[in-house]
Amino acid sequence: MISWITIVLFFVYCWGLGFSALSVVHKKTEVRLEGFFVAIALGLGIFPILAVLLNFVHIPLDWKIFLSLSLIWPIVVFGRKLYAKELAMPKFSFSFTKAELMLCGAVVIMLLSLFMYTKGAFAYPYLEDEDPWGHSIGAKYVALEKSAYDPVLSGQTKMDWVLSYIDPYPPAYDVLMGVLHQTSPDLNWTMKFFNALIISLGVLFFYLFAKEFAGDSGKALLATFLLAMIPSYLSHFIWAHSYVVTLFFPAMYALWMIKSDSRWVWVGVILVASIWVTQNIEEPIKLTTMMLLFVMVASVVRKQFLKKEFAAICGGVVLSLVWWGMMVYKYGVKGMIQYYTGERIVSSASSSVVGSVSTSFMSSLSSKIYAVWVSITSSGGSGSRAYSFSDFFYAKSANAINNPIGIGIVLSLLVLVGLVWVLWRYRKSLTSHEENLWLCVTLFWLVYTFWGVNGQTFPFSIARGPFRIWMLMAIPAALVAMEGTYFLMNMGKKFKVPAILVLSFIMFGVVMTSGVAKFEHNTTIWPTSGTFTASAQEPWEYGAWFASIPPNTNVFLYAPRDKTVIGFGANSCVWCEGFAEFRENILERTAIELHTFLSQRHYEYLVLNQGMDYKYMRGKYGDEKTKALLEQRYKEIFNSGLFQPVYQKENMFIVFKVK
Amino acid sequence: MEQSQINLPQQVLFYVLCGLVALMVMFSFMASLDKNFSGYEKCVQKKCERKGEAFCQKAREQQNCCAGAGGQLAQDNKGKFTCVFS
Repeated sequence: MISWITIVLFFVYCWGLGFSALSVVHKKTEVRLEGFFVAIALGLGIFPILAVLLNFVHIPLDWKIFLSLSLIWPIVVFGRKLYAKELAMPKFSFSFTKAELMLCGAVVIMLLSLFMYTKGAFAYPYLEDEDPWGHSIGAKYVALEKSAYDPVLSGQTKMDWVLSYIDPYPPAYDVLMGVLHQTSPDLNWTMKFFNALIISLGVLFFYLFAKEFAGDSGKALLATFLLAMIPSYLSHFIWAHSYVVTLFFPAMYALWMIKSDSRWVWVGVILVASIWVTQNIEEPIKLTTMMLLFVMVASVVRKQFLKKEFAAICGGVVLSLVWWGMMVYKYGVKGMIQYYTGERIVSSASSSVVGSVSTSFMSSLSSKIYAVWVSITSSGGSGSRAYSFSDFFYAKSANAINNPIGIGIVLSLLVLVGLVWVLWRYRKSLTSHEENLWLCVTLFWLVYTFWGVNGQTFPFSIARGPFRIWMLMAIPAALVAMEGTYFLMNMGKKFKVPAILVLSFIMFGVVMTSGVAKFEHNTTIWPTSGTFTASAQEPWEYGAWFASIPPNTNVFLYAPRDKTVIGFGANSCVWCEGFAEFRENILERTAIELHTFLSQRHYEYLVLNQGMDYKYMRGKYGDEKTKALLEQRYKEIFNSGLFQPVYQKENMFIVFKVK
Repeated sequence: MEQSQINLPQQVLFYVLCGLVALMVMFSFMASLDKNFSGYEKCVQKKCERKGEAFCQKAREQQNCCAGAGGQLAQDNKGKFTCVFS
């Protein structure tokens, strides 16, 4: 269910916050509309840390507050101009500069990406795999409770009892989705659409960054096209990575602009902090490494340490402690280390304490540092593996859904040509000429990300989770491939082949060997959670039934899969006091107790699914007892007269209206 | 003229960049030698040593090792996972 008002509000939040940030740096763009899109980029980047700060001082995460905060400064500026009679309609003319045309091209690429991602996301009624369902609970919690700290429940014994993607997981992604959900009743639509929109806007933000970075709007547009074609650059999978990678571009934009106006430091601080409160450390570490590589390379090339850029990065990390400091305060250092690394570090540290006196402190410290290093560079992860030449070279339509892999034949060749050309053509001027700085930084990014992707094949790993580095490798790959394309176009000129012909040929090759695979992968029907046990048709049937009831209706699944209810757009207060305890022993509750519980909490529907119920309860009660108890409870529910069957899909599930 | 403008850190940075690119190429070549059954076995063994037998015998981990070695996961007569190379 489309919410046009929420789409407008999203752009108002982003533009308002970005406009305020641009006022600080007095940035005026000569290209029409560019200022608007830069403001959107900065605003989307400001939102995460703003949300965390509001949450820290217990200001409700309410859309009206975000709207007010985003509009305060624009209204002040408008009022001032009105008072000074300086308001004037911008003059419009049909003549366009090259930069304006290139920007229009980037907007077209962004819109085509949005079309592709939304087409795929809405090709099925459910959410894919597991992560998106988890995020849906976080978004629902923020939307209703207007907080991004876990609820404090009696009897809570472990971290992340209810909300996996909030507290200690940095909450920005779920907060954004939650705030948007406050004005968009259908959470399923909200998550699918805005996730796709954020990724697509990232393509446009890349253009804005690349234009400043490479100093050429034509090169930036070509690189944007190549990035949009690379299969490994973000699928429409719903997770915090979509947001955090997108934030890299405005953050780098701000860092790059510091050289022209040091007030960009403040914007840089905010954007880096936002990166650190959007995803759970893994991507922030990698993105910060890439930013530090920029500072290191630029310091050498410019023959002076870039202290302002460095301060912006450090300041951002420090500002993010508003979240992380609170988490350490809440869970303790030991708790946080255990959360990220398991028992290994804590136990290695404690075993050192009881070890020899002479080496106790040093060995404890060194083992801790080593274990932390191993943890942040671990080449493990569910989707990580050794990658072969064909994994890079051939883009496949059948791919990983969360982070697809592959570059494509023509694009891979362009990267190789670009790499060799840049090293050969510029040689030492790469590290000594300001105009080549962006190329040098790009090559270091390429080395870092390529090495990271190959964490399981190279002698040692330098970044955590190789499969989640594919999306980052796409960034330098697009820039280097763009240089390769320009080289081939110039070569063509020498042989009297028009550059436009070479460019067309290359673009056609890129579309055919990368773009088609990316489009097919992103528009095909993706699988969903293992929750559904009956058949591949089952999640579709659930989707059809959930679509038949009003959004946010209270629905109770007998199986403990409340995130399924929430992800389909209905509601279940999984974080409410007493809910988890009731669920824990649900097979021991009679139909009357169940009815009392549901009616007290205003649940309208109860859903039974023999396969699902059995799957999630047998762990506690064992096979036989679960079967026996389920049979008994089902009979009670049927015969109690307290529940009225209203919908059934044979061999799948049955829905009861709670009387 | 151009050479004389380059200071030492810039020279070092350039050689570091070239060195890293060379290492990348070398490691990639070395990795390509592991694309066989022994590469698959090594991968599984490494996972077993690191996280235990139950972990490394999971279909997902076996699949990752096999795909990484350039093969296709299959099951033998006893139902045990193996990696097949065409």
